[in-house]
Amino acid sequence: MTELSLVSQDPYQELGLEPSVSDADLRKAYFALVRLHGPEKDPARFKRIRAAYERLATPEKRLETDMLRLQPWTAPPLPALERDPALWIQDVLRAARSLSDLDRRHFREDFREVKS
Amino acid sequence: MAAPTAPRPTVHLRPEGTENERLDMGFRAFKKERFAEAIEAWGSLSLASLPRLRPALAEAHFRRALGQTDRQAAIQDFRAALAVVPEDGRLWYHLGLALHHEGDLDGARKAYARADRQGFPRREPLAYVQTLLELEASPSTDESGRARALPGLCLEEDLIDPIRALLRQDWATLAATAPLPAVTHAKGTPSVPGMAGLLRGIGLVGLGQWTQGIQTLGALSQDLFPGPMEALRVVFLGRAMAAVGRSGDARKIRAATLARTKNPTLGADVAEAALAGLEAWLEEGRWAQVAAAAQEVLKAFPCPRAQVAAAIALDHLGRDAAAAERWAEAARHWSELLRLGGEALPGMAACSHNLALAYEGQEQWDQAATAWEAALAALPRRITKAQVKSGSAYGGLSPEAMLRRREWIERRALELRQRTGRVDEVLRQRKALIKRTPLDLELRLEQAETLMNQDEVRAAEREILAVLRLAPDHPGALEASARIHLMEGLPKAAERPLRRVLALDPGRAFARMALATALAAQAEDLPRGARKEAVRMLEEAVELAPKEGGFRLALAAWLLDGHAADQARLQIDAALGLGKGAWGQVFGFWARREDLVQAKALVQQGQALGVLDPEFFCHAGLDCLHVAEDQDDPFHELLHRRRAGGRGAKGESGRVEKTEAWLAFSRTLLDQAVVLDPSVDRLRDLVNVLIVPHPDLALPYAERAAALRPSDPMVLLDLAVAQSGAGQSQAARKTLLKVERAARAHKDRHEATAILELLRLVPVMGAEGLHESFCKIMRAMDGPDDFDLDSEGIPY
Repeated sequence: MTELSLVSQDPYQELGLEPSVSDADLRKAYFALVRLHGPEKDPARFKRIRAAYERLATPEKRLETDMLRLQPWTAPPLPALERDPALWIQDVLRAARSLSDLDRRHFREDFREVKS
Repeated sequence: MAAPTAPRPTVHLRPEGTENERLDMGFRAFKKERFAEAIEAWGSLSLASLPRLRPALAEAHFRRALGQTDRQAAIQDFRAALAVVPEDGRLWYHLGLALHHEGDLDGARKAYARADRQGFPRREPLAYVQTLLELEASPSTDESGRARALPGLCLEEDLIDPIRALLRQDWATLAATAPLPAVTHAKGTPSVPGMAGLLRGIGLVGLGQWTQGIQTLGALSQDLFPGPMEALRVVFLGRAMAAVGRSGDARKIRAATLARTKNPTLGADVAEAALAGLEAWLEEGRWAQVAAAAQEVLKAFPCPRAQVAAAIALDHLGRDAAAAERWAEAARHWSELLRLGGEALPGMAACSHNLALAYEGQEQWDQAATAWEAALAALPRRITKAQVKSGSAYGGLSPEAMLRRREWIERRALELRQRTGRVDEVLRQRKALIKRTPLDLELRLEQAETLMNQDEVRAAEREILAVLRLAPDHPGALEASARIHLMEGLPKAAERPLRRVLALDPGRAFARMALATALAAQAEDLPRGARKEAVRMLEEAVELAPKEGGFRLALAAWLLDGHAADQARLQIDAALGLGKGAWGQVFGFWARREDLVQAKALVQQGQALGVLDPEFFCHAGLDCLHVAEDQDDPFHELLHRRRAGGRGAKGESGRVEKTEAWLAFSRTLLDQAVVLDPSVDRLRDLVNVLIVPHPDLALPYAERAAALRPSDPMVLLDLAVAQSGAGQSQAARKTLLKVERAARAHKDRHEATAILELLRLVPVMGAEGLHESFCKIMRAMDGPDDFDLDSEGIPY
């Protein structure tokens, strides 16, 4: 069964870190948190911190955890609606073309008789 | 001797027959409009000797060109026709049209000019397309496209000027369009009065005179105009309607028109109306609303703004669903996002990644594997410095990290394909991967693992040997090699690679366990006289896997046989210290040794400590039953005597006594299981294991289950079978009637049908034979072969 790292159990969130954190900063932050929430002071939080760190402690585990997390998707900026000009040139030209032979399919009047 | 000849030119197949025949063949084909055949027939004839053939051949090319869907092929045909009759203005005109369509404006311009010089008779259409071409070449230049002054033509006033006014958005000029003289231009142009109304209406709306605009444009029938012209009518009619508050009407006519004609202006109007509140919705996180509006726009018009808005909304909806573990919904949103995004939006690797996770969340392994493969395909193979700096989903990774991710995804996809049972596909893909990365030893070991699971031992061995050739001390390969030996029942051969692994890394759990297993297997095969050797081997096994009770008990058995009771006791106590589960293991040990005293002592000890659960009593009860059954086995005594070193021979009376004692203890233990857990499920578990070998023992439990659940047809069927087996045929018959009634009233139709089907067989085999038949079925189901019913419906 897949161990998906959902928001509720995201180890980075538990440690208050960004997923892009370096390994060194990760360790530093972990030790700081453990000092702050030691097993005697806050055993439940300590357990969660340890469990979260456990999932990121080695490069292999971290890769596995990272790959089973939802990836952020950076949307491109919202393009403006192309409203200028109010009337697209191509549409006018297409309308003009539609009145010409360019939009016709049958040209019987251009046929020539062929006699055997 | 013949002179050397030049290489033969390619020979084209030509229609057979004389010149006249081929000429006739071509005419016949032409009449039937099979122009390709006509061209083929005539193409082989000499045009010089048959001048009347020229116009015919040109006509065949011309007509074929007009029917071509591939414009380039049409151009080739027009050129071929012109090669035969270059003075035909009509052919130049049509070549011009084709080039014009293809966007070759220079080529088209020249072809139109030549058509004009050759006196193409339809002067108005020619002048019109020439003018259009110039307008298209530079639409913003006011003087461009000035129609040539052609006597008797009114192109300027009634067509070209309004087009120029439209391009300039000169609404006042358009609004003042007078009714045009009823001159018919080229075929296919709309009637002039309709055109004038359209131009006037567009002008009025452009000037903001909404009501008049609606009246003018609304009065025109949509059938008057070709599609692109009609789209313009709807653009302006829709704008006027929206301006006077008739948004619903505007939406309706726009949607209907867009369904028929693609028109960016109209599409932009639809997008503007549908996405009017977009920024506010995005700000407020109204993702569903954004997605619905944007998707509505996209159905009609490829609007980049709507595309990005829909993608943003779908991604948010996917994440929200995933956070609540609504994986199917998340997968739906991300699939749609990928469909919309395609190659147009950046970062699709991340979206495929998320989609793969959503499929994994639903355990849809195949789809997940496909999504992972899509993520892999979308990932860059190389990362630029700019991408590293950008810090986006994958862009912020170092090249090494990206490589690791690629490898991870590749393996994941393979692993998932394997889960779907498509092992052949996995082996094939991995083989290709190994070819690309021959030094990836782990990959080869994974391949070996898969091959082993497929019982392709030799192929697996080849992969392992390939790894060992590259890395003789590779622990994984050495372990895999040992596994193969163990699978083949060669524990001695497995020992060497395992000892090599442990010499390098004494803590490797798999190697420790595997070596312990190999040693225990060898000890088991040793003759009784080799006790010292067996004890040495098992002591090492215990040292390697101290938490495995089985090795301790195997050692204890040898020690007991060697009268080292104290040492054996130490091992047994150590096994008991391994946890609750070990109590069952130790009980089995005493049962196999047929030591009833020790078995009873163990139960007393466990009860005193409160470590025995219903599971233990069930298994212990069954262990005792097996011992009792073994007493009837003619080889059993011989075996027992051998184990006891020739002592302990017992007569018939001793055997019966022993059987009774074990049976009685078995009943006590099974009863105790029910005391601790009197549920119907527990009772049925007991009935299920006892009913075939000991229906008499199963009966009281079946009766208790039926008393607790009297309308459950399965429980009643158990009872009937047990009654039949215990010789209570009459009671079994009565119970069967109850089974039928209960089955008919049963909610689970599938189960009810199965039971009724089974009951259909009872008249054939009778209640007396019910147990016997049931046993046959059970044995057949346990056995390797399928079972069938004979002509009387009895399983055989």
